[in-house]
Amino acid sequence: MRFDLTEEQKLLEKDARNYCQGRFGRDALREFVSKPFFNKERWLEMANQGWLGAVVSEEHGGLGLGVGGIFPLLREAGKALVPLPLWESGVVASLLLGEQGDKDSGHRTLEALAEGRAIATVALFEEADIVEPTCVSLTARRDGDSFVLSGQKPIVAFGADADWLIVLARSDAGTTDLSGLTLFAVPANTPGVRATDLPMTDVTYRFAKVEFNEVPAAAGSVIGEVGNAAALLQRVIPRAQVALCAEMLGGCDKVLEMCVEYSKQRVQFGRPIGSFQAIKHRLADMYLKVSAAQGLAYAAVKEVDNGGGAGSLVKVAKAMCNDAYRFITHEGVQVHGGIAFTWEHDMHLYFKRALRYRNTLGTSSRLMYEVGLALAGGGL
Amino acid sequence: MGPYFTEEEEQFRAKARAWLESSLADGRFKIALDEPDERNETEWAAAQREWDRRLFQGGYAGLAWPKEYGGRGATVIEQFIFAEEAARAGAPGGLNNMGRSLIGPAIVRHGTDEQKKRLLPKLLSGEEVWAQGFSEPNAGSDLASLTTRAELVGDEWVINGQKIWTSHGHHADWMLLLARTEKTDPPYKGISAFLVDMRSPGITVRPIRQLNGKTGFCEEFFDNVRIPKANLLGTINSGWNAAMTALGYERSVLNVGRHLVMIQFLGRLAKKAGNRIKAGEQGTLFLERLGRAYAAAWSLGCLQYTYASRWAQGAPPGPESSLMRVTWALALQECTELAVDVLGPRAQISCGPEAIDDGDWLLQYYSSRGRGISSGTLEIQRNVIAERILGLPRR
Repeated sequence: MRFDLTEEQKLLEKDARNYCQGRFGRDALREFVSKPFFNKERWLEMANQGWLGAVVSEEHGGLGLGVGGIFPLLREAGKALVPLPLWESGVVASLLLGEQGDKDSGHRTLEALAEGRAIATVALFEEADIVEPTCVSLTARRDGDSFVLSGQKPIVAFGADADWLIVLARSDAGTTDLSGLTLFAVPANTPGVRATDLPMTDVTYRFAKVEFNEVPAAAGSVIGEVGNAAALLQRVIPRAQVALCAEMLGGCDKVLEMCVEYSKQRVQFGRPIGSFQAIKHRLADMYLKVSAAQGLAYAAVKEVDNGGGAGSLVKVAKAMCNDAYRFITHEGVQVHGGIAFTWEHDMHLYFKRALRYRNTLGTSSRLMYEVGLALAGGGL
Repeated sequence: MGPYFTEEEEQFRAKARAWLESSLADGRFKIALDEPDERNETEWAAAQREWDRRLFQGGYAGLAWPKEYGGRGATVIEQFIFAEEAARAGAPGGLNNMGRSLIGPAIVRHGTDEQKKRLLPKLLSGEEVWAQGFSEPNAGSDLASLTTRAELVGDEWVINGQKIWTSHGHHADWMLLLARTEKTDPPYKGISAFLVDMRSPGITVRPIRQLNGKTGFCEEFFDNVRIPKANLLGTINSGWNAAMTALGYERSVLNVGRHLVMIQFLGRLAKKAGNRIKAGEQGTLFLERLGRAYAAAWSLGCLQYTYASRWAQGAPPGPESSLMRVTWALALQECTELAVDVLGPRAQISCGPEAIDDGDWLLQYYSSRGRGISSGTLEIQRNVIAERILGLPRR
């Protein structure tokens, strides 16, 4: 019986840990926080390791490893707060483009992404964080064989840096439900696309507002079929959620480590604070939550990589990782006391990232509700 | 990642599942899934004893025991699989579960050849039922402070004191008893373990009526009880080791499969409460809680896989049992509390035709509150996690 990383995954974990800790140490991170930028040099290094094409299928020039094949890397990236769009470009955009079938353009884009020559990001939702009928008001108006995009995506990670934008648009103005949605792969340099930097809570990442002012999109830029975006997203989102779990777990690992270390060293009343039960029990609860979240995420990997329909376990994993990271960063600030409330201490960087993750592709409330609904409907 | 089981393991699972299915087919064991009360005590004990017997006949009684003592010498994963399948199939624990899972292994490890020859066969067959005599009124979480005394007088040990929270104490033929043989600092170094025939003169056993109305455990009074010198288990003042051997098993494999019981519980609840959870804003809130309870149950399942995988690779069961214990207790409390909230005011009727399912949901809620206390309180378990896993200082 085995419920653990495979030998390949352990090797990747080791390589990724060495790389992330070596390249994204405290100084590099602080440099990014004071002046966020897209680090092309690092991006190419990661491409050279094969990491950017890990989930891309072999026929599209990738390694075809599935989410399990990139999980340890994402965990290490989450741990080191790597300020690069691994998830957006290397996972979500790559998976969506992989659904494009045998279109030539998609094939070439995927190759470019895997080799690090280009980066892609996802501009999917507007006032929502996941697919729902009101998640999109950006329109794609038909113009002969092609389309014209109008509207805006208020928050796009690395939106000012990406070469490709994967855009979710309402292509059938007569609909208000999920049936009239289409995905487009739009080159960021198309006239009418405008990205403006955005001050977001997660200062270890980059964000932009992206406006689409009468942006032409050729028929070939449609991902999958017109009006078929919802189905396509339902296939890709579970994998994207599990990939986010990996990043969240990495953050949890690091904060728990910081807390254990600190409570052994910090002395008050003549004793290390870690000898007080009030602190012990907080740390035990942190460990409980991250252990459960890790187990659920592992089980969810099996579910999405085995090609079966992803069921409630993926939602459970995402929700429990959300909650674990929230809990661990909240308690982490508390355990460290005043020093954690300074800009200088790293705790706030994790605390803020946790907020971003739990509002990306499903809040816990929503996911747990959906799980409950499936159970009540006998669908589990 | 997984979980992935080997082909041999899957074959064992299929065999165990088939055996459980046919052994449980006559449906007479449903009563044994819960604790007894005054009304059904006799019937309950008979069903439990019958299950002990079937386990023995099927060759599943000494799953973890070495073959030379009549066991199966099963791998830890086979034990895991059997526990999971037993939970899935709704098998009872048997009256002698404590003996088979905790006390037997302690005798195997610390007993003399004579003790093993005399005690193990009847323990395994269920002919003699064993109880665990550890806790005392003033030694709960701080077990090592126990004060029941054993003094060597001639060829006999003379025992005086009181034990409490003994599961099925009034059905027990034998007890593994911890008693103080020396005043030491630290106190655990002066404790010895004894094998006590419960028919010895001077023992009074009194069942305790619990919060849930059941009589699952007892207290015992020892008044100048004399047992043979040879009934010391292990060496003098080394009783703590025997206790830890027993509790080590208790806290590991015994947790396995419990997530399946909770998931089945939630499935039945969703059916039972269908109308209340599908309508309106309150329904939405209940559905979120249902999802959260399901997540809590699966958290336990995935923790079990995590550690079983490590055991399979040779790591001995250790303090991780505390993780599973806490996760189980909290998940069970979440599930049962949801049930009494979601089923509405009638869920508060204890029994009878006006009650929902004769008050069973309410009973489960009551019982769940005890799970945060028994076998080490949640607070003690958190201390174990903090000190033994995270390495925080004891003082």
